[in-house]
Amino acid sequence: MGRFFSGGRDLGKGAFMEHRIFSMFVDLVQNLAVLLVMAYVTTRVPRFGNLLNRRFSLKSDLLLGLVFGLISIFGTLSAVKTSGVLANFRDLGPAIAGLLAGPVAGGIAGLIGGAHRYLLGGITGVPCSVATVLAGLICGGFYLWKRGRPIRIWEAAAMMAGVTALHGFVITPLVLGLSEEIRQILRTVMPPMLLVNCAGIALFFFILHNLNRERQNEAEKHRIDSELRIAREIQMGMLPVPSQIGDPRFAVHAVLKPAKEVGGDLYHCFIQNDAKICLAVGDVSGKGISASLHMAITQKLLKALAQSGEEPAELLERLNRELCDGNESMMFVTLLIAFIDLESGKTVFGNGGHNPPYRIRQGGVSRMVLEPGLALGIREKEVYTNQQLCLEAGDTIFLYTDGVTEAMNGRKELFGEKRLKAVLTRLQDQEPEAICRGVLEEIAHFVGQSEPSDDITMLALRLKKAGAAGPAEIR
Amino acid sequence: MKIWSKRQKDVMILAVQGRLDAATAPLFEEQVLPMISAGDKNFLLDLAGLDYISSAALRRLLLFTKRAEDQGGRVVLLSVQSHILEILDMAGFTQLFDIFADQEEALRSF
Repeated sequence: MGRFFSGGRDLGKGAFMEHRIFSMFVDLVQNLAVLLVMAYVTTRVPRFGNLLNRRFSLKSDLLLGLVFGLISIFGTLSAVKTSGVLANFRDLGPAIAGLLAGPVAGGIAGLIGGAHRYLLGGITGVPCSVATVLAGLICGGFYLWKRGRPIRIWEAAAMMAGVTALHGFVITPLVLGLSEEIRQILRTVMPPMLLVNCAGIALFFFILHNLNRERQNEAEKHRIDSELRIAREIQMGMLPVPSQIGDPRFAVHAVLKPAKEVGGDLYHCFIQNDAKICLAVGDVSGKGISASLHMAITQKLLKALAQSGEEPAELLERLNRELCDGNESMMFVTLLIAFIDLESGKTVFGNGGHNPPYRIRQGGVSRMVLEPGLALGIREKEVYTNQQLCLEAGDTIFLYTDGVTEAMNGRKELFGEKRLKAVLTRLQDQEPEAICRGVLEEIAHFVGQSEPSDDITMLALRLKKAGAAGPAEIR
Repeated sequence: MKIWSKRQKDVMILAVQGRLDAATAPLFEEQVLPMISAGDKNFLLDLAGLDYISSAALRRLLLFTKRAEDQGGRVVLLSVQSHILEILDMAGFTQLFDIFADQEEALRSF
């Protein structure tokens, strides 16, 4: 089996030899690339899981030992023969197995790779096979010493350099002596082997570390997503479901669609003393998590304060004082409150900087004219006024947030009041639920594939004509 | 969104151009708040080139104004386009700011 080292005499000196070493290096890298692609593919197999920082069962040790033993054999078989001298990365497999899973896996991989090398014979057969087994065992020892802490990339490279040097500079001379022939072989083979082995193991661990980080990021993202989902459930749970109020005097429907998981829009709807229905729609500046915290505060305050029976303006003033308290970040809320007398249709509004509602009446849709008032949370002593308008039986009042009119399409155009008015006109004979659904559909059509730009809230209420009862009403 | 700044005596003139929305509002804050820390307190915001302002950006504008006022200064607005004025008016913000159409007049107000 002299073929492994048969051509020692060809080795020249100087530039020629450097060229040999270089081409040997290039070929080794090519073979290594095959190995790394294999490694990459294996680490992508889900059941392989996280190879780093993990304890393995004996069965897994055996399996890893076998796999990396085969890789070790691949390292031998793919060895590059230049001038009859073989440079190889046989030690790489056992070293990786050792670093990943300890001396059992490393030792098994080493034994497989080493036995295979021993059977091939040649003058370096004995030292090479011994070195391969030792590489697995030593790296396995390092794994034990690390006590489960993940192996860093430079540590893996340093261990690989150590066992390769041990192979070339200690074991081989110990077994074979340091004849001129051996020196020649070592001089040719060691530089590319050291480089390729270290680069190979560094790359392998780089892949593992990357994969690990990716999985951690995924896990983190999953955790945040599930927390946001819970926050969304809590937020949605704070809102009343007006369509559940079964009252023959009116039909009411509300829609709230946050642009993100959670949002800053809010609404409220309740009946006071069986005589009035109170509607409120609000919008916290901004969107997302910060807005949602303020939304929750405002929603709860509104719900609590509204029980006092005060008029809308007084309610706004009390809410405003609470919201101004400690508001360093200048989060503000626009809020529109309407108390509608179910008998007379007399409606009292209090407006804290919110867009005025639309009134849908047979034969015409109009934006109600309300004084703006200042948004809440800005000036503590702000005074609001009660503004009175009258609704007639059959009228529908449509409250909304600017997420409706400022819904944006891909060309950065806004949905706008004009489009909203057109949809409302088209749907003027519909029930509140159908109106809300129709507007939502129109917005979705307008926005197309663009991300929602703001939270969307609509609250529509239709006063039924006296004597008419339930959905079976005939007009 | 772009901001050009120019000092005229003790008034810092800031010309804001483009869109102030959820994406650009933090940039606005990052650029203007340090000016207050650096000692400026009187600001003239030229909004002639402002195309859009979102509620998130309004909050930043308020915060900026509050900080300036905390230092004894003032923020006034110049050349506010009608559709921006409509947004400001809707939230009742026109009562918070002095709004001018003429720069000289605005500067004289300080």
